[in-house]
Amino acid sequence: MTAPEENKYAIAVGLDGSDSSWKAFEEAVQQTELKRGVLHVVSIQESVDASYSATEVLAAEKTARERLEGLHIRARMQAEEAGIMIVAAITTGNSASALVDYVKHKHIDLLIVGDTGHSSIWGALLGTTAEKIVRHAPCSVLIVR
Amino acid sequence: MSMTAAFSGRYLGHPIGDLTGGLMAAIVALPLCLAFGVASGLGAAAGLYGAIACGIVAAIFGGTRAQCSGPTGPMTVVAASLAASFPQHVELVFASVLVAGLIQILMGITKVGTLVHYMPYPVISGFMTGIGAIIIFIEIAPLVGLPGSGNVLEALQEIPSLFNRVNRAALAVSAFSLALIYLIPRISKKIPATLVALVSATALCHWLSLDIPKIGQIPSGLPLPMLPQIHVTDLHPVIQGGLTLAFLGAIDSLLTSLVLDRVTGDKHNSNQELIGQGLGNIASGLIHGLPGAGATMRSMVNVKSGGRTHLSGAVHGVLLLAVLLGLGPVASAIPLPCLAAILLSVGISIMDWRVLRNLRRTPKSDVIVMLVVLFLTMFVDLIIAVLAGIALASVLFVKQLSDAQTSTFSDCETIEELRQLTSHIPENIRKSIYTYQLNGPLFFGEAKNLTESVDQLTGARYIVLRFSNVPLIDQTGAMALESAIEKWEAKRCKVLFVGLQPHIRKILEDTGAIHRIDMENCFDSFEQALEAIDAFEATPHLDGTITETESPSKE
Repeated sequence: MTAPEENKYAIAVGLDGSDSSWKAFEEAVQQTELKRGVLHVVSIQESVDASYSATEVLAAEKTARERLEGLHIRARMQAEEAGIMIVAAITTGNSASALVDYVKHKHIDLLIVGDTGHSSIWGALLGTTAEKIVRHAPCSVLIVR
Repeated sequence: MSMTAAFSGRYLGHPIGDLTGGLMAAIVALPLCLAFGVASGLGAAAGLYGAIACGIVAAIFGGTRAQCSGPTGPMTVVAASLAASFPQHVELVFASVLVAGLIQILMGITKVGTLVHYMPYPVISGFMTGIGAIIIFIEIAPLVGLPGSGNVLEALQEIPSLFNRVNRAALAVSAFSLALIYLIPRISKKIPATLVALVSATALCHWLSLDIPKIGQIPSGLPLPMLPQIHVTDLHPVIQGGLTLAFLGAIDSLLTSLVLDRVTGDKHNSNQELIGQGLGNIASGLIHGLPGAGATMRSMVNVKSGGRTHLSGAVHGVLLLAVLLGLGPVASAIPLPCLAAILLSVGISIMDWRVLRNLRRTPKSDVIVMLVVLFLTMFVDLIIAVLAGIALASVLFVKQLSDAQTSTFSDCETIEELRQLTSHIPENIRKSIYTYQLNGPLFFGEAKNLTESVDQLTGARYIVLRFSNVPLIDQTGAMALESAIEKWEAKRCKVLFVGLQPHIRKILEDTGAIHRIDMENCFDSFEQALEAIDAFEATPHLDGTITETESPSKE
């Protein structure tokens, strides 16, 4: 454990609690074992809706964060079973660009995301989160279907 | 040089984003201010004057980046009840606004502003729910095209007699407006639903030439500032009204500041914010405007549309001024039922539905405080409601304290145990780990010891705070803890928490201290904390904006 981990293969996976993101996480655990790398579990806390009530906003923000923390606890337990180390991070912003920023910032070698599909008509026009990530990420991207 | 740098940081750092943010905030503000003005009984123009004065002045002098100020639900409810109690002399309402501004400046200078953050949550929740309910009740008559009342009791008494007098065209317009307000966000949240409702309802009424009450002429341009003329005998009600406005405006504004901190990642200055709000209210009182406060919706829309500095709030005010100059002829055609529909949606939204839905799962003492505050807010007096709520919450807190004195945790350990726990950690790291065992409730005294010990540490890289024997923490304790953590982090020292009980964590969160405590730096046992340090040493050090820690790998 004393060896510097800077040379280790760094894998990041986007986890939002959806079925497809858990599938991506399972794949990421396998890849990390295979490469003897480090796994970053990244969850994006999207900004809450504007409201007339400050308390409403504060409560919504807290609930959103607690949900993501819950996901990380579950992810950590599964990772420990597989005997790998994870770095869990929550960042804020738009999911695609926040993930890409994280990848750039942390020098990730491989980013794994689930295929979320189109959430709406707008989604079909603008592309899925996964498509945006593929276009902008500086590293290899694996989309799990 | 630092003066210029500070100036450009406050006002000129993001000019483009501030312009778009200010524009979007003004678009949201316009219908609201007209509606608040009408609801207060002081006229639509008063709402706009308040938004212009507070919007510009509070933004320039305030302590929260991207804050947009103007008339809000609570401030309007107070102004309406003041206007209802001095029907023949509205000048007294503006005098109260002026006095409120002076009091807020005093609150800011004497630094009592920060105390507002220690308002118990059930009090705020009950208060906001009460305000929401008042707005809903006083808007029922205007919704069906009848004149409204600023007093909730009068409004309630009138409800049974409304049915025979309903103006059907007015009811149709308000239903149409409500449908737009609630349906548009389902299509896209980026469309300003209230403005669309306002414009379409006005156009509809104009084309169909419906016979329903309208705003009427709005004088173009701002009135000249002048001191309200009041008699010495009026001083008592004016000061009382001013106190209520000052106090509620402070709560309203600083809650919004807290929201903005979360959204922008900035840290606001509460006392500076109160000075800004005070100056804004003085300006508003002088031009016969409604009292204002930091407005959550407008500020959030501002940030989401790119606003970042104080300039954005001022832009929002200036744009409203531009609208006022050109609005006159159009505004006279705006139907009042549409404004009532807008306010109804505001009232519904500021009620704390989360707590109302979860009453059974909320601690009983919190529910009692909330319901008492709710009742007093609606039927007695806003200030009495808040003060009684604080008093009740304090009494219940003391009771909790005496119930919780016995700790279930025991933290005796032998040196041998400690040695075994730490033997696998390399010596140079071991020497940089400090632990601090806290015993008993973390009140001011204990926190002071903690803060003093901070300054004596040198070369510490990890501090393990052991909380298992802490059954309670009070606000001062939480604040002292927060500043201690800040100091440690400035020394690049990582703080880990062991045995932090959930209710203690909740208090830390409510006071804002949790900003500095990541869930992942909390551990059930000392051993787990050491494992985490071990794991942390083994991975490259990552900085900054993203919070993280590592979980230990299984051997």
